[in-house]
Amino acid sequence: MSIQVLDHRNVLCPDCDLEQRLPQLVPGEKAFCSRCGHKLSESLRHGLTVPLSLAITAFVLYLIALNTPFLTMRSGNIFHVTSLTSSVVALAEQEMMPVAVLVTLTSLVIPLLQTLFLLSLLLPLQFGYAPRYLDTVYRTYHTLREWSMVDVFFLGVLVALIKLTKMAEVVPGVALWMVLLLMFILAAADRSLERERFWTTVERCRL
Amino acid sequence: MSEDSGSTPDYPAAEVRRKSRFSLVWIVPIIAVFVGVLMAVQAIVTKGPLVTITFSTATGLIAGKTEVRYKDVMVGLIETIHLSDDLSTVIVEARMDSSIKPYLLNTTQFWIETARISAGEISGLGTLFSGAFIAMDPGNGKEARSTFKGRNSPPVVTTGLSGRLFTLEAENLGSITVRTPVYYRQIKVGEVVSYQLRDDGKGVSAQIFINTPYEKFVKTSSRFWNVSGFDLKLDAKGVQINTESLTSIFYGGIAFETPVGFETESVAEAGTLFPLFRNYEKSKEERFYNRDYYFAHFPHSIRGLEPGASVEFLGFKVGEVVDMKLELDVDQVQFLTPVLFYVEPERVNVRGGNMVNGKELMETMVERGLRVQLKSVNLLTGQLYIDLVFDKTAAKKEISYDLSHPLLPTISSDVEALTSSVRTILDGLKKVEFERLGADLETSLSLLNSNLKKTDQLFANLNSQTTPQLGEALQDLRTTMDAVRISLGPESDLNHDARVALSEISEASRSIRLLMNYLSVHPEALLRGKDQSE
Amino acid sequence: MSRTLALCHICRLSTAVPIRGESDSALFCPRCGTGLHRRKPYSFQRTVALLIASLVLYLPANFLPITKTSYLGGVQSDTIMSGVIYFAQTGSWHIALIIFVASILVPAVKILVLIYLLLSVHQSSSNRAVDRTRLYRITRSIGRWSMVDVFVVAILVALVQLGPIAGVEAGPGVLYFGGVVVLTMFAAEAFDPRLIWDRKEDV
Repeated sequence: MSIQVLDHRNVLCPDCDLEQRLPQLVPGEKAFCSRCGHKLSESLRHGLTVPLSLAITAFVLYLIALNTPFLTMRSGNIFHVTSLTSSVVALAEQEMMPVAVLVTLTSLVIPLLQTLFLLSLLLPLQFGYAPRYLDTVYRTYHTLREWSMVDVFFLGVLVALIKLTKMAEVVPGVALWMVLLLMFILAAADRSLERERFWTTVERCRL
Repeated sequence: MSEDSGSTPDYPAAEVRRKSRFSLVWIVPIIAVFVGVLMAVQAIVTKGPLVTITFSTATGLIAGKTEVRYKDVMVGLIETIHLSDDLSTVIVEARMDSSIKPYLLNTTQFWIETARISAGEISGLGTLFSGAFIAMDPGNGKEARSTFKGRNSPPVVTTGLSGRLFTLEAENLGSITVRTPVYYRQIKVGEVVSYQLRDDGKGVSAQIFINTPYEKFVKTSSRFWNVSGFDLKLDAKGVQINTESLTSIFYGGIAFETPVGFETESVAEAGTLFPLFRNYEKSKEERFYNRDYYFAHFPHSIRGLEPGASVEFLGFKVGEVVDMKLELDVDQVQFLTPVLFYVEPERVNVRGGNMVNGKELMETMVERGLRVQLKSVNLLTGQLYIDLVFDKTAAKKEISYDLSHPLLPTISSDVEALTSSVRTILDGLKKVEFERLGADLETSLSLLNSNLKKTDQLFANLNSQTTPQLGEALQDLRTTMDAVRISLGPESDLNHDARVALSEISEASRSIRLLMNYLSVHPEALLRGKDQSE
Repeated sequence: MSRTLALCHICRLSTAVPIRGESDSALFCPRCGTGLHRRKPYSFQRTVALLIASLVLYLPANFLPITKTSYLGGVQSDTIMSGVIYFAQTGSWHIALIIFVASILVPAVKILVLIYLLLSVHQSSSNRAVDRTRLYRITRSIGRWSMVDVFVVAILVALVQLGPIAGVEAGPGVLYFGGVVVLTMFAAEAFDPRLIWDRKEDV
């Protein structure tokens, strides 16, 4: 049996499975499930250029963050400089590979992948081109969204810093500010990606 | 689950509005890119030079982490460490800050700073916590370089360390080593920088560095001596231990002072050469570098001359006797007693003009009549020394260079003159005819005896034959007395002779006394006789 | 033929699918190609299994030390709780609060809430479905914040490496704790909130 795509405006609530009609949204409006309150849809004012530009920014920020010092610990005349990848190395050295992998994935790899995915999704669309991989990339992007924990990472850094200020002086490096910025930029990029508009554009480009 | 019946009308497709104006949001990535490029460019532009340093080992060095520091400030970072092709050295490449580029010169030194103990000093403890680092010192060179050979240990003298270098010379190294402290009034004012064997192998020389502000205490007349270990003196006063410092016991030490002396004190210039004496006592003696060795052949016994005996000139010690031998000259069937001695020409303080060449001076003096002579130090012991004297009457002689050292002409020492005055006394005493004196006395006494006997007889006869005999007797007595008076009286020859002898004896004793007085002042008069000018 | 709507959980496209017949797994979203399910397959079982696993790891996560701090020779082991207490005692009560909430409260609450939700679904309870749904949404969103402590440990380990003076080593507890966070996140994701509404409707 075939699947028939119905009107966009009839949707199921993902949380409570209520079928309801989705009115046409004016940019700036949000639609919620009438039963359980789940946000069904949102219409954003801007197009796909915003998430794209934010994704580019995030990418540049990442490049800077990976090549600049992250935190420097100073005790007397001894300096210990760390980069974003230092945690991985240190944990791996201590035979804590699973933790090292977990930390790297959630704080570095997946957010970076998010950025790259966004770029790969939105750049072609900007030029009117909808490559084949879009579906897979979009699926992966969506699955991984939950696991991109740059914000949690930043909070962890703050807690660690406060814990250490008694012991020694910790000097923040450029990479730290990059992480802070990335936190906001990535979140903004994700939120600014309007699902419906994306797929509409995709379909248009596929024609 | 209801189906939505009826197709919904086609809504007009959402308008595709290509935004003609450039969305402001693009500013964000533009800024980001701009900043990123700026940072990248800055990193490349400020990238400092890469230097290559070779070390014998890479202990404590980690690529990407170990720093290069100058005055403990980070000026570079090690990028790579690898072995040389022949596995003999470690090649370290370090990226230096561009700010340090002008200081990478041909005199720049690099060494690995780790915790170390040397010469009583512990240094580099901080590296136990921070890890080793490479330290550098630029030096005052003028040429830029980028390849260096790393040192194994830190240099003692580094740039910026102000002070002065001097050189000390000694026969042996003793317990002197690098970083041995140099003391002035028991305060450490410097240390030994390096040492090496002298080129001619006849001693060692050590370079010392005296720190500011103490270098002005090193004067041209300063004396340096070794204060390593400690001095233990055991004498009538008890035990005395002297040491400069605990450090000097283990690491050796050198001390110096500037004794008050003839010369006005002037600060020594850098590089001045000083002798290093073995201990304090020796430093009080004069010590000179150059020794001119000479031979002398004496035609008579040299009994009483021993190695170490002084060689004197004009009353000053100018050298010492080294050795002597008994030689047979087979050709001439002659026995010789060559004596080897040395003269230290520097003992002569030169006034005006340059330093003299000892050997040239000797030639000139020999031409003028300088000869080598043996003289007695002490009449009783018979100990001899060498005196260099001018003999104006001497025949012209030259220095012979046949032997390994120049052979100086000698004049014989007049041993007879030694006893001449004594002989005079003895001669005087001989004139006194003690035998005749004795014989006359005996005659006189026997006369007296017989006369006394006669007197007895006289008195016996007196009893019998009286006065004419008494008169005769008295007459005889008077005659006897006259005879005695003549022989023993004040005008008698005997008396006269005796008086003359006595006066001669007293004269002789006086002259002996004078002689002794004179000899005590001018002992050489024994050989030379009294100085004519007196 | 009767159709019903199915929602693609990836692209949120609602499509009409036949009720009966082919099993759900054979259907794919026309837009994004994801497998279409009306309900998450084996949601209940998967949630239960993941919950049990995270419970198993929960004990060592809290009782084993997560950091071993060596300071001038002395080594101090800290569990999550002891770290909280240390912060509270030394005056940084705000940090103590953050760590307590993020590392102790949140995982516990997550597990408890999921258990509660599972129970409620199992009992086909019908009251306060909206609240329960909201509860689920909150649980889902706060889950990732438990990772804070893991990041703190990672940063401390990387940063405090001053040789003999000071050094931090990760303890075994952090491994289990990371497992707890990951598993509870998976468990929350496995749970299909529509189940709450299902039972209600079935009744």
